[in-house]
Amino acid sequence: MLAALAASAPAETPAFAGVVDLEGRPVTALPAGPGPTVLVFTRTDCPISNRYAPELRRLGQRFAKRGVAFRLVYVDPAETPAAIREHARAYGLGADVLRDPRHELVRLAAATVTPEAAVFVADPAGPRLVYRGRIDDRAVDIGRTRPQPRTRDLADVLEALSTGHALPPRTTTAVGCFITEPR
Amino acid sequence: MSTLLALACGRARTEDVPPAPPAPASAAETITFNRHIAPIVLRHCAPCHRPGEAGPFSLLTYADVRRRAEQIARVTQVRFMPPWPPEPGYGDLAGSRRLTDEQVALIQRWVAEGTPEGPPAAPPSPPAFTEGWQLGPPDLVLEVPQPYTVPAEGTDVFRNFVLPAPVRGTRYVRAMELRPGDKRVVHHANVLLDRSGSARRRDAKDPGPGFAGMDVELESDAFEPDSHFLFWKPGTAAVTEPDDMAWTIDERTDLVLNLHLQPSGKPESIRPVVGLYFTDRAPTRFPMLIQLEHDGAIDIPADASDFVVTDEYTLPVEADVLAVYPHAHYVGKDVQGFATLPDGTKKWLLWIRDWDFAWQAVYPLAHPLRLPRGSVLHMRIAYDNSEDNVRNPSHPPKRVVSGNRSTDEMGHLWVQLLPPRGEDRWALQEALMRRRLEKYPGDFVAHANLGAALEARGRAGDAMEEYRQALRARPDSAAVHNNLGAALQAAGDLDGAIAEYGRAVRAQPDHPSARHNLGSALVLKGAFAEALPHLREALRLDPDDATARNNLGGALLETGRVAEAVAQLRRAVEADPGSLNAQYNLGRGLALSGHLDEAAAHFEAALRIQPGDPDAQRELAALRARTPRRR
Repeated sequence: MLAALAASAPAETPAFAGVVDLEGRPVTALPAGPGPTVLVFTRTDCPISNRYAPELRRLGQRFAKRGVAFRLVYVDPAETPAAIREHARAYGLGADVLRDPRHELVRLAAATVTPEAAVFVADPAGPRLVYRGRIDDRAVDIGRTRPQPRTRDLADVLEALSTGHALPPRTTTAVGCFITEPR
Repeated sequence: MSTLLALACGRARTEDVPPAPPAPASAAETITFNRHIAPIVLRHCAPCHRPGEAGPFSLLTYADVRRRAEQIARVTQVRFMPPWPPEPGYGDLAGSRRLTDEQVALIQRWVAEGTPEGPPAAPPSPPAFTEGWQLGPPDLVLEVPQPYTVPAEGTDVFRNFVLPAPVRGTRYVRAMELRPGDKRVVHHANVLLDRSGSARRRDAKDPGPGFAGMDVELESDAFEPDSHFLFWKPGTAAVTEPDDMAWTIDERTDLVLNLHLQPSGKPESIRPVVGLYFTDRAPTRFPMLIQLEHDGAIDIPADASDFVVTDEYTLPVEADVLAVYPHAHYVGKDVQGFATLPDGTKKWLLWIRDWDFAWQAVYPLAHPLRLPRGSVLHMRIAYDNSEDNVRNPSHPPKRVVSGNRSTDEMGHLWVQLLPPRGEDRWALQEALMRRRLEKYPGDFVAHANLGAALEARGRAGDAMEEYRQALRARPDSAAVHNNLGAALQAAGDLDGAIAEYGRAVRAQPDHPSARHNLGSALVLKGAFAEALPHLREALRLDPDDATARNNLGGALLETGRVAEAVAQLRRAVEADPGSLNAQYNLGRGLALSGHLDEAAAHFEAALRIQPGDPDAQRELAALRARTPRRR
């Protein structure tokens, strides 16, 4: 399912040597296929991330059949594969789960908090970031949350991409748990 | 049997968190975890951020804190954590969780400088936390019968669970501990005492465990004013009362748990448990909860960003303020409580400048605030019903009125007052209801409660007028007809009383007190046959009503049903061997049915209860005249 990025991408594509699956096998997070890939940065103990689990599940179901791949990226190097597996199971988050203990993907996407989404599309020059930021605008600030979102940023991006629209790169500010640099 | 209606709502108390010792640091000194940060975190964060508590992760070690350092810097800087909404300097509140500006600055510096651990020579150890029940095994444990599942997502859930208290007689409760289940899901809880069965009736109508509702209003048939805040929030160990201020429960009491639940992202099953700790010491000090509110004035136009509701209450007697509990929903913005003394001095109770429903709490005062007679309590709540209020449940904003749904508003400031004498609570109640009538002329609850307060203060005539006013607002109120009947009976108008009790019984045939009163009044009038069905019904509704049973036995005797009378009177004596009337009536019944020795024993028992009682003496003498050889 996860095609090796290095096999089809130019040499300058970063090698994600530290990105592993829950068995500890190195993987590349970005498929070489034609469809967009969504990385959602998360961790097991961030309440803001956890409350998005049902929304992420819905988005995954809605866009998977339209060629969009969702990958959950657990950013805290201290979280064990067993704890992550149990977390993903409890929250119904599916099987496409990665660990990024060296924050290679975090840096690639310039993610700062969990949850934060990064959408890449395939490009002859390598995977290209077209969106990074919030899933929607429910969380306005730490401790300030709307009862319902007014804009569904990630869904809007994926809707445009999956209907063949080219998008200029766009970023929004995500609100969540800050990602701490690993040592 | 004087009764009245009272409206009840929620209340609370928290433990004290002693302030962390100052951690001095010079500008040149390196800020380290071990020396500067750990004392702050272990005292102010770890009580909730440890396994099994409400915090989503533990903050007990350097590794715990370092891997969340940026997050901690941010949430302390914006003062989201530790949660303490009241503005410093406006009120003298106990248990402040607020970090000092210096502590916040230290955390920022530590993170900016790379989160050094410091010399590991003496790593600070977390304080010892008590596992399980914080006060030891409770005297009584009440558990919600079935688990309740909080859905994975959606808006906040408000659920109420009814817990009957299986006790006999009156018990004094000195402490309560609530273990809500998953503390990460239960955001806060109020415990209310329901002595009317009204919460049970609501529960029966709502499918699934418990019943829905953001705020619970209970009706009570007795003046048992809400006196204590029974409130849980994360970090609350146990709700403990002073030795002489226990609260009471009895076999009629249901505890009602009013829970605010927040979906977590996955379905969560909770099953709250309440532990009660009893004392034999009856309370000698009686606080009372006073509610400032003006929900009738809440009619907030869409887009209004500063809609203000106020209320005030003038103390008719001196009293101490012990605690305050502000309450508004999602459109609330700014909540102020203060008192003005007769000399014009303004005393702040609290000021919350950024009201957040999710972090509501009861705030005990650090020291009781003595308010002289004539002081005025003030509530001022401002609402923001514009788009700028991100918590606004409606987008675009809609007109908001008062109500129990999360899209409705409320504006309450509950104040726990302790007057010098228990009977002063009637004066507080009278003033509260007169204030309510200013806000809501003709209001049923105010007239009914005012009547009861006046009756208790010895003003029977004024009380009856208030009851009649209440009945104008609600002609079918069994409770008020019953109260008016009792007042008429006390004033010597037995026929008037019987007429009112009759109206009460017609309005609500299963009103135990009205049946009791009507049957007993008919006995007094000598209408024994007429009394029988009402007394039988009173006993069906409340088998523990020993007075009704005795009256029934007496009425059965008078109508010649001796065998049934003896059976009822035996039960009456068994339930209350110290009842003069039950002993006397049983003696008569036994004498009539030929059990002369046994009859004599009960007349003797009656005479031990009331030496020289002429009726018992006469009956006993007659009995001895019939059986001279055996005496």
